[in-house]
Amino acid sequence: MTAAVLSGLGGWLPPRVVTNEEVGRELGVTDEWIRRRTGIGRRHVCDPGTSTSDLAVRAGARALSSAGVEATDAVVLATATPDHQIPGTAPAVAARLGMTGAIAFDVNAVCTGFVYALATGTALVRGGLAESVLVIGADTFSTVLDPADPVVRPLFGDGAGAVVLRAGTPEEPGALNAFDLGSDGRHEDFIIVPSGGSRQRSGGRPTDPVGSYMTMRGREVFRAAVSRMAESSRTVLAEAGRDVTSVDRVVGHQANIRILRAVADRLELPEDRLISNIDRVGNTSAASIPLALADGLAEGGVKEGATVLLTAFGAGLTWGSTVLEWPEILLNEGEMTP
Amino acid sequence: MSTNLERVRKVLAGHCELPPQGIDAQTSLVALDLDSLTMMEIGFGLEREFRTSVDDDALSDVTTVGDLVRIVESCLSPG
Repeated sequence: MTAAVLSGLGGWLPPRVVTNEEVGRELGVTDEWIRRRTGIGRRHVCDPGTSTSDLAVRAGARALSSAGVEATDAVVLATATPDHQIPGTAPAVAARLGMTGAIAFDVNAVCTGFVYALATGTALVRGGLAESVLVIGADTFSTVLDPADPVVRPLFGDGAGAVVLRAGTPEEPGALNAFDLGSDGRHEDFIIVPSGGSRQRSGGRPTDPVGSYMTMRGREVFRAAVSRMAESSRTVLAEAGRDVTSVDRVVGHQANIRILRAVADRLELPEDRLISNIDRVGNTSAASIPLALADGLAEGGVKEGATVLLTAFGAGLTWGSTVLEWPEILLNEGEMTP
Repeated sequence: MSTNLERVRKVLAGHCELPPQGIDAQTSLVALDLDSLTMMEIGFGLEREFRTSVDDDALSDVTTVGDLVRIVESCLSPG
């Protein structure tokens, strides 16, 4: 049986850093307040004119280089902040990476997007549609945040992360043999950008500037994130025939350090199993897991042979998890968030 | 065997700094300076300690440590 095997990894952050002090001055909150509530110390934000595809291309190129390949048969881009409403952003990313003609499409599962895209890429390989897939998670949430919102704005940063999948065997390190994915659309209002889509446009109303910003029901999201990620993690581990105690590293969606700690607690895993770079990048939505993997690998927290659990939760609601034995992955020079 | 109050106290101690004089059922949660996220975490902690499910909405109405004990006990009671 053919399996999809992880063979390359790369990340990219826009150079502009926004510290808690900077964002706090504008919003009337302190560095300590943001850190205590979220674990976030700073985030990277796009300069005007830079869009999701710009970040995706940089991360994609790094992942291709890490895998030692120049192109893949498919590009799956996880994003909730595409360059345009139409078309999808993945074809432009593929073309700019020199892969005109490749299968290319977007996946929108918001902060769970990377795990959904990873599963989609895996399915393309297993189904024989592609021998190799570039899976990118890229988001520019700075473009959907109300600059005056003291609760939501400090949480998010912009970024992109990517991996390369190649055809291999299920026994190989890096093989993605088990996924758990799910959704609960009854709670689509928990995290939402209400304006700009067909629901608003079909009414003939002009785009409402306030409705173009993301709103989030923090308490409900916190609880759902913890319970869904923990439950999904247990499900995928059972599917893979692994015990929770066998997990060496948990690379969860970097939404809030307190969510990650609560997930570890629910799984009865010590906190030192968590990989986190949220202090340096904030919540980068679909980019967060590959960026955390890249930092974890660069810093030595993620090692060859380790059992690594990936778990995510996002708007939708959506959630998803996978588990793999970490393969030998060569990172590019300078692949770490400063 | 620990009383439910002692078990609730243990969970609280994991999430906030308890006053040096200790806490009892009458201790106000406001005095413990708990924000909404911390209350969520305490809810998770109680669920794990008592192996039960604690309703968020019930937690939003609590004012004292004794209220927390009562919520847990109502979740544990068969009826």
